[in-house]
Amino acid sequence: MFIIAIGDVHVPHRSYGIPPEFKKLLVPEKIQYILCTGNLVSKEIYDYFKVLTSDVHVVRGDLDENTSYPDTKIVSIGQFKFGLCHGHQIVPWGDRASLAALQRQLDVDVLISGHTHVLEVFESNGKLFVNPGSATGAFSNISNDVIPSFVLMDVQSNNITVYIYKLIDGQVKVEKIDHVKQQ
Amino acid sequence: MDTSGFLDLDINSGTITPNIKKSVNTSDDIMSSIFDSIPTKEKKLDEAVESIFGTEAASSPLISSIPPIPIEVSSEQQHEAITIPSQPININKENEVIITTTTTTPSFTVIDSKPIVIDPLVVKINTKVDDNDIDVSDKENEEQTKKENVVHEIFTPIVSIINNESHNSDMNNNTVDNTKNSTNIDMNNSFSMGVTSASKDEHITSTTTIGTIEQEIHEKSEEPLVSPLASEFNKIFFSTIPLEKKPLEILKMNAFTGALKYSPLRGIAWKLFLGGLDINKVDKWEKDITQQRKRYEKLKEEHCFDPRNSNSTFDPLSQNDDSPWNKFFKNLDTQKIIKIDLERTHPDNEFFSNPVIREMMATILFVYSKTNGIISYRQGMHELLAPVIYLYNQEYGNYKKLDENSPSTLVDFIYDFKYLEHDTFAIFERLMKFTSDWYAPAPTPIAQSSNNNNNNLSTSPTSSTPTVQSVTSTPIAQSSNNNNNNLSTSPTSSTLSETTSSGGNSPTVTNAPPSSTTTNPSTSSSSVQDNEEEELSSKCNDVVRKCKYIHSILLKQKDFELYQHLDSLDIEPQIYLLRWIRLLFGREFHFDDVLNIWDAIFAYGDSLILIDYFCISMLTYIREHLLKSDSIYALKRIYKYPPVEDVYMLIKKALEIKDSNCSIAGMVKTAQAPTNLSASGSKQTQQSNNTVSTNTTTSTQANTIPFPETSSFESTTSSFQPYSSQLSSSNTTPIDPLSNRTTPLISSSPSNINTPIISTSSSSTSISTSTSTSTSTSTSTSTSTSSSSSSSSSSSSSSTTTAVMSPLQTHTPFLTATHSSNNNHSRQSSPTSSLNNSSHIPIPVKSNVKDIFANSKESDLFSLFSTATTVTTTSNIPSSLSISNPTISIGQARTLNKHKSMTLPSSPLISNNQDSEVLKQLKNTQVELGNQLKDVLPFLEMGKNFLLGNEDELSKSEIDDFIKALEKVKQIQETLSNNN
Repeated sequence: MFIIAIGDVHVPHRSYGIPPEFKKLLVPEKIQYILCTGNLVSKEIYDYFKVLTSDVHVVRGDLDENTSYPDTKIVSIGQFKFGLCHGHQIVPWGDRASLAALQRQLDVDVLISGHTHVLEVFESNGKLFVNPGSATGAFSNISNDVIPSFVLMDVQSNNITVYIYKLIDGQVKVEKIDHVKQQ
Repeated sequence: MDTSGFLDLDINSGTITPNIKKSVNTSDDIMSSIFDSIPTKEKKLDEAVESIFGTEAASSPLISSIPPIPIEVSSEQQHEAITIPSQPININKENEVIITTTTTTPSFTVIDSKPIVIDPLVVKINTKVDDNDIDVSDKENEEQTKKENVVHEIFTPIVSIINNESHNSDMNNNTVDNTKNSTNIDMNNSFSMGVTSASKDEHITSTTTIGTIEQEIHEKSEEPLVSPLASEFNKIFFSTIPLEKKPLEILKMNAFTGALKYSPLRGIAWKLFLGGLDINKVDKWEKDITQQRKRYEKLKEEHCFDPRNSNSTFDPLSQNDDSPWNKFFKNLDTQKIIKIDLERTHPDNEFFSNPVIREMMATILFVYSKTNGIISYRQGMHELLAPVIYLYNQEYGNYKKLDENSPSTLVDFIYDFKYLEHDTFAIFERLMKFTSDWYAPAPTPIAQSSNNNNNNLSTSPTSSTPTVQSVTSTPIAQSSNNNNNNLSTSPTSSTLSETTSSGGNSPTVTNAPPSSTTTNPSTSSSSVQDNEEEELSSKCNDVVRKCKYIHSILLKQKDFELYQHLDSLDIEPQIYLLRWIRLLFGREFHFDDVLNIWDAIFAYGDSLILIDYFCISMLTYIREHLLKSDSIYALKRIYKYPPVEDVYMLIKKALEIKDSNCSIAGMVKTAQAPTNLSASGSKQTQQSNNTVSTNTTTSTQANTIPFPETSSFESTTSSFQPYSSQLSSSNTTPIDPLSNRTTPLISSSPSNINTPIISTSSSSTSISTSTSTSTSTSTSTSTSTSSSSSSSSSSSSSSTTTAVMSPLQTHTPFLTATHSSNNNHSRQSSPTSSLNNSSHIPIPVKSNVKDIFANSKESDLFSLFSTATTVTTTSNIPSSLSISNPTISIGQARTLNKHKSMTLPSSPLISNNQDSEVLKQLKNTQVELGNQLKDVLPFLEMGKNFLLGNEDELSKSEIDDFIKALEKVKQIQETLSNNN
């Protein structure tokens, strides 16, 4: 089962759109879930996600105009519980201890957060923490040289394979990280 | 031998007689010699033709209308062929006859009261004695020895007996022939009709087991722990005592009789039948099996690749076709379909709900789908796998190596439960080799494209309305269209186009291709592409074609009434046959019965040809239901096949059907046009006939013309009677007693025999009538000409009836056939008499028959023969050949020849001083007649077999009579065809 974690698109304010290299990869019927960390800003991106799959889960980012998105969301897929949060609420931004606190609070196996525009995938305490970065490479007020990126998760029973997609110099680079759920 | 040339009886002028050629067939080296000899013979003929008519004529349709000598001779046929030169009369009688001939004078023939029956024979032998001098008999001896050599190779044990006898009676060739052939007939029965003589087979197998008991005991003393399977295995494949039959034959016998059901070696037997293992190389089995297993392992590794488990990173979202993920996803789709199907596989059987088995089946099917190219996996394949894996699981599971310490044997190696999956795959693959073509998809996109093509073509001369039809037609019809399109352009495969053309709106399509290239140059480029696609689609439509073949060829031959009924109900054969064939009857019968049926089908081999006949057998089983019911009920009946108590009954029937058909298998394939013709005379067939005449080239025409009645005839001589034999039984037909008496007839009018000249002169008028009628009809559709002309000529004397009947006759071939079978003996009379009967002409049958006989007799028949000769002298050859050839129907051929044999020695037609040109022409005609006759012989042969089968119903003398007559025909045929 394929799950896409993506966010911080900032279209149209900070970027003209998702890079065509990524768009080529993102085709309907392959992906079962899209977990979005927010800051889509415009409705067009949401519609685009909806084309890829019907299961689109979005949380509200600090710049989202749509106020109906929740602050956090929990999605159960297979044996895993995915927690979703934009991350501007967590201070300091991108702090691992704070993220772990939120993860315990939500009681999830995988916590997906964004806002920092820095791709980060790590395990802590047997839990998986994923920050897909910015899909468009939109600028951030805390980091320079943002690389466009998103994360694909392949869920197989108690095992998640994380594929990291980065666009470096017009080339899509893929990395793989395995994660096994701790009992 | 004072009469030279035309019809001299010198048998030895040719290299070898056809009889010997046929009998030789089993051994390979001699086989090749036949194939060498036959083409040369044809070539000779061609050359001869060319020399007379010039090159144009040689390539003209008429001359190539000489039907090719049937080369393909299956095993049963060979044995039958051996019987050809014989008359299974006991020696005493033959001797008697000879004695009488030597004593009696030629005037003996005048006697025409009771002993008429013997008359022709006497006459025959008379001529023989007169003509054959010592020289000939010497040569016959040579021939005899040749024959013996051949037979020696085939039946060594029998020949040893024969040889003894032949030495005893070296002087009398005939007796030797008789004894030999009678033994051959025995052999023949035991071999080809394995089921019917089941008791004999069982006897043989039982003796083998008796033979090996000692061995078993011996083994037991050494290793007491041997499973029954191992002992059985060793008994058959590693017997120290030579078995009476080859292991494969034993297994086949068991398969046909149903004994294989109880054998633990069923799995191995299947593998052998399907060619998975070579029976002759038992010592290599271990190697082969290892190879097969390794192959499967490799395939599995290759195709069941999971990119998740690989060390390198692949992009799951990649759109690249080479991406392992992409392949993986595609595979996933197939696997999903397979899983869905597997859940529905025999849900009532616990075995198939076992997840381990399901997984195994899924893997096997998936791996197969990957090796199967474009067809991949199709629904239904799982149904074929189910019985196989069921059987193998049972056998492998049951086998246990009882003694762990004993050295590992081949049996232990084979029956290794670890390799159940591997071995199952191996046999499944073998099975699918035969059946995978039937799973080809209905090529909808291709059909669409060809339809487009048709639309383009509709602008060309043909009317536009039919094209609309083709667009709205069902997918099946479309596919048949494709076929037609494809095949009609290539005349060699025209037989198939015949079958498919009955499928509906074919006429336009068949008309279209030739015009397409000329009128529409724009489409020509696309049509090339289409051709490729059509090639594919034609392959894809194998199963549809097979269905049509079974329905419109086989069923028609075997059970015309049922065929007509189904046709009138508009039940397309694909509707039910598709399922039967694809699943190998898996849905029609109980699971265990399916295994039994498969035993027989596999054992029969030959690309599982038995399926066709089994279908017919099944149809005839529910024949009565079908005949009584309308289309809805009939479909219901066919779909929900009634439970059959004993499937071996059906198998037996199928074998009977097959066997009876065997000798004319080649004929069936070529003579499809006439069968197409009588599809109840609907408009469409009418049209298709036209297309046949215009489009199909020379060869097909030639094949279709010669014997329009053959197809109907063979259906009856096959001794195939539907379960509810409603057809007129042999005793009830009013013609029977009469015709029986009149058949040997030729001698009944002594004047003719003594004065052949008169008959020719008188017949010359009748010639003109017969030719005129046939020529007039020949302007209409060519196929109908053949049948109608034959009917007209057969009753040319009673000219009033012919006009009425000729069209009718095309619709009633089956009826004629039923009658003719009942009095095989009097085949000559039957075409005409039964014709009268079936066409409901208000003339009392008996008197009518009498009339015909009184009038026609020989003069009429002889006229037929002389048409060929007289017309040749007027150098009107091309037309004369075309007309005279088809007129020889079976019965006539027989009498005609008889007549020839009697009259020819003194025939005034040929004199020595005629110039060589005419002589050559005559010879050509003669050769051609011989060839035509050759085609008839198998049917006569079958008739003989039929008679021999029903000996109790008919009197002995009658049968003997027929056999003698047949013998004579054969002889004539030999002389005729050897005289080039």
